Amino acid sequence: MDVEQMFMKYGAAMLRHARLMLGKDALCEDAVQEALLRIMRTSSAPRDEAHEKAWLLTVTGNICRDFLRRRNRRREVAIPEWFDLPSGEAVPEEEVSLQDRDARLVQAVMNLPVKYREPVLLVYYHELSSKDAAQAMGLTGTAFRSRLMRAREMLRDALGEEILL
Amino acid sequence: VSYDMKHLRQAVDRQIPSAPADEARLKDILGEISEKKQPRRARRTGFLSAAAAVIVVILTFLSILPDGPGQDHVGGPMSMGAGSEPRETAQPKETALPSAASESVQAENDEDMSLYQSWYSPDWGASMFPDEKEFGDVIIRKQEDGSLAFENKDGSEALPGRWQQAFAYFVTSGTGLVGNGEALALLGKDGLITDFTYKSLQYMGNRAAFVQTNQGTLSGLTLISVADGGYLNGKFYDEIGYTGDGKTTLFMGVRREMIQLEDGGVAVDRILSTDVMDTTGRIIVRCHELSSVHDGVLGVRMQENSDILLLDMDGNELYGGQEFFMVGDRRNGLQIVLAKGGWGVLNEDGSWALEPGMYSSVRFGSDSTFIITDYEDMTREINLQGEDVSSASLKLRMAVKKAAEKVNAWLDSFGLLGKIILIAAAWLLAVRHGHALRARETRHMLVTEAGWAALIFGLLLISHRETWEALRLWPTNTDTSGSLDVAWAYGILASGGLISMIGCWKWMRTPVRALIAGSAVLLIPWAIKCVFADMSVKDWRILSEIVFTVFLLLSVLLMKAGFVRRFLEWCKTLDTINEYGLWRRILWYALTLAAFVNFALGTYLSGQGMSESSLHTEILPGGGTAYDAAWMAEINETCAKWRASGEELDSYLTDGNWETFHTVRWMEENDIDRLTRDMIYRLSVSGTIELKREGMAQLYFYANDPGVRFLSMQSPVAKDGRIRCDSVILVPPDMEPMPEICATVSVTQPQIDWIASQRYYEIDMSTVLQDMGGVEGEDAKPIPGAADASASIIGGADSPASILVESSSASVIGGADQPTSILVK
Repeated sequence: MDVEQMFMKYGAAMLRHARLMLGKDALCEDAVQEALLRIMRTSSAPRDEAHEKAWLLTVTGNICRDFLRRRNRRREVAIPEWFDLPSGEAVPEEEVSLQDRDARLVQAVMNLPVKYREPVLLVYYHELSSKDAAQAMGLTGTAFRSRLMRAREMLRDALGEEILL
Repeated sequence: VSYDMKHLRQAVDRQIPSAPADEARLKDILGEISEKKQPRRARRTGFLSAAAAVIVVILTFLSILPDGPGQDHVGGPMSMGAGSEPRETAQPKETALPSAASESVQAENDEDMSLYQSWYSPDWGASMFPDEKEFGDVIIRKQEDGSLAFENKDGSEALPGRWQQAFAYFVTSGTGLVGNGEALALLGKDGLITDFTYKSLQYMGNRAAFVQTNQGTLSGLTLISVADGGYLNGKFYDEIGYTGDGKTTLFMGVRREMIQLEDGGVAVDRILSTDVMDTTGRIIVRCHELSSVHDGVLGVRMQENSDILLLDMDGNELYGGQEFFMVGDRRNGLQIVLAKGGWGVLNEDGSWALEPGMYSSVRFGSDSTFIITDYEDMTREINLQGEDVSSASLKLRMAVKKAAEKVNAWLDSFGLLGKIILIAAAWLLAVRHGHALRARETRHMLVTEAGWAALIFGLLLISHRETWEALRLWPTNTDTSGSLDVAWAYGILASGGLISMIGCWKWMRTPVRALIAGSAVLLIPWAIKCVFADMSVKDWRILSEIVFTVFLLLSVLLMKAGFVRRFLEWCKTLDTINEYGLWRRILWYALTLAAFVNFALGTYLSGQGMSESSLHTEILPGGGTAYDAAWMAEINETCAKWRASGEELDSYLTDGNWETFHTVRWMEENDIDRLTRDMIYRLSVSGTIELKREGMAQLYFYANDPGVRFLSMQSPVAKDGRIRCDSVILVPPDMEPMPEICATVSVTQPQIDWIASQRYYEIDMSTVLQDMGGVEGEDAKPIPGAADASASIIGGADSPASILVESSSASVIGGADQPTSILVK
């Protein structure tokens, strides 16, 4: 699969990943564009399609981290502007409960520091295997698992509830 | 309540639904790249780079700019008219224009001249002439048949359109002169006044002109009135100089007379006399040479080699008869002169307004301020109180120059190591920039481009002095001894550009390939530098001609073999360059092209410098025309100290006083090239030339003190007779005989004539050379029977010059591997 096909197939995931990493920011598109440029010039593309998505997310994640580092250097606080609180309109109880739960969960995830947010997103949102996710973050399996575990603890603390894995 | 992480995806998608525009954005992102648009941030980077490059270029050129108009005459301003030019070139030609100095004076004082200068063009043919142009009271209109007609403003015909290919010389208020190259017509308000058959004409101002006539036996230059076309004084001259001082127009006629001096039947000498006259033909003074005319003050040399005496318009001596090495401008009674001690400014009463010895050059800024250059080569404008009144731009230029000098000195201090560092930096930057380009790593592109700009600036700082010198003197007065370095520096830049372009090439995927290609390309200027630096003039010229010929042939062949198509195909592989934004792309190609052009120019200049020699100033009979104040002051001061010591120069020098000479700035070891250039360009070079062997010559230079002189190393003689002088050494005074000689081997007929009129001595210079260290020894002796000796120069444009001396008893050829050489006395 050439780069363009790959991008059309997984571009949305890349954009999503960038948004979840950076927030609702114009930088998301820049990050995806830069990731695409980096992908086009690199000669280390995976040979099997099974790992293409992981690879694309790896590159995107790397660039997002660069952007975040740069933003942090400028002392800008990453505010998840994209996250809208549930509206106050009347909705059925079940839905309220579901919506509220979703919102809490997502907000808790997005409030995690990036280094803990990313493993959660890679595993639970992008549904990568632990091995691929570890590779995507440039971590060893042990380090990745440790970080993921710590992320779960932080989520548990934030939500005050039980988390099913 | 529990949270199932497996539902995170659904939760996120529910909370943050995908925007409908996402897919479109993805296509946009892909499209932007497919359409070879660069990222927005890269475009910003491009503009920043462009701005940085522009600033660097401006700063660089500011730093290499000359200090201002008039700097060409480093020793100070010259104020000569045409008469100051070498004799053989002073004949006004059809296209001759007034000298710059005279123009400026003339334009200030003669309102007609501005009109004249504004449109004078001897090359104007009818086809080039505008359809209609108004000059003064005359309208020149092109006719349908292409001829020019002259009309008065009231529409009446001043001159019918019969002047095919006519060109107009000048038009003053109601009067004009037109011609077609063979004949002239003088026009007045009422039409044609008269016709001439003069060959050429120049407007003098004050309603006078001088023309070159070919009427029968009356050939030469004469003066006419533009009012009626009549002769002013009816005299004919070899040459005419002119100046305008707002009061009187002076004409200088030069009569060359051969006067036989019956001095024991030996000597034949020549006296050159110059009559300085006013327009009425009244002789103000008869002198050897009119040096300058300013504000009614004449600077004259009464005798050959004498200093300049200032006279008023009645021929009376000014300033108590003081004589000066050189005379500059005069305004409001303030006179710039080069006296013993250096440049200074005299008040009307002869007192010093600005003491000499403080500045290496002085010229007027305004009527009461002076632009001076000190011995640190810094220029500023001062008033009569010595206060700095420099303009902001001059201050800025000097600040930049000073900073550039400091950085230059700092870079120079690195020597070879510094250059190696620069080369390494050039290579690293080029390769990295290539990669950054290909990878579109905008941050790295910015960093490498900034580094590149800094490198360009650094290299220019190293070479700017030589660059400026080379360009300033090129192509007529070429002294490009430093241009090989310039070529080398530019070569690195050009190669860097090439490397960077190669870095964009798809083939250059690996650092190893980049390393190989980059190193290969960088070797080109390095090879040129190494190979050509030590080559002889002849070999260098041959090789360069071969290289250029081969290059041209290859270019043609490659083009015939579809080179252009292949080249364009190759360009397509430079995929990333084409993804630049428009301005960035233009900037990139422009910079690369500029680097290559500079490289070629530098190479060409270095070729000029090495093949045609650098000594552009012929050592004219009577010596040069200018002195370097600092140089002469220091030399003379040292000589005076030596004389006062009563010691022999040898012992004086070995007594620790050598330092006195040694510390003279131009005698510094690493400045020896500049010294010789300065001597040739600026100094009054009383010199001798000895032809050592084919194509080589030896030059001697003299300070004012006859006991001190300098001997050059053997120097190549170019085809045109000019000599390149690379270094000099001090010659002890007891190396006699060293006749006070002025001569030239420049093979122009007047000089041949002049040399032929001189006395000759035979000297075995090989002995003298062996004794250069100060050991006594000389084998000079008159040529037997020299009383009837004559000499001529053999050879010319296509062969090295030699001097043939013939007498009734001897015939000697000097030069051309002859063991015995000839000194011209």
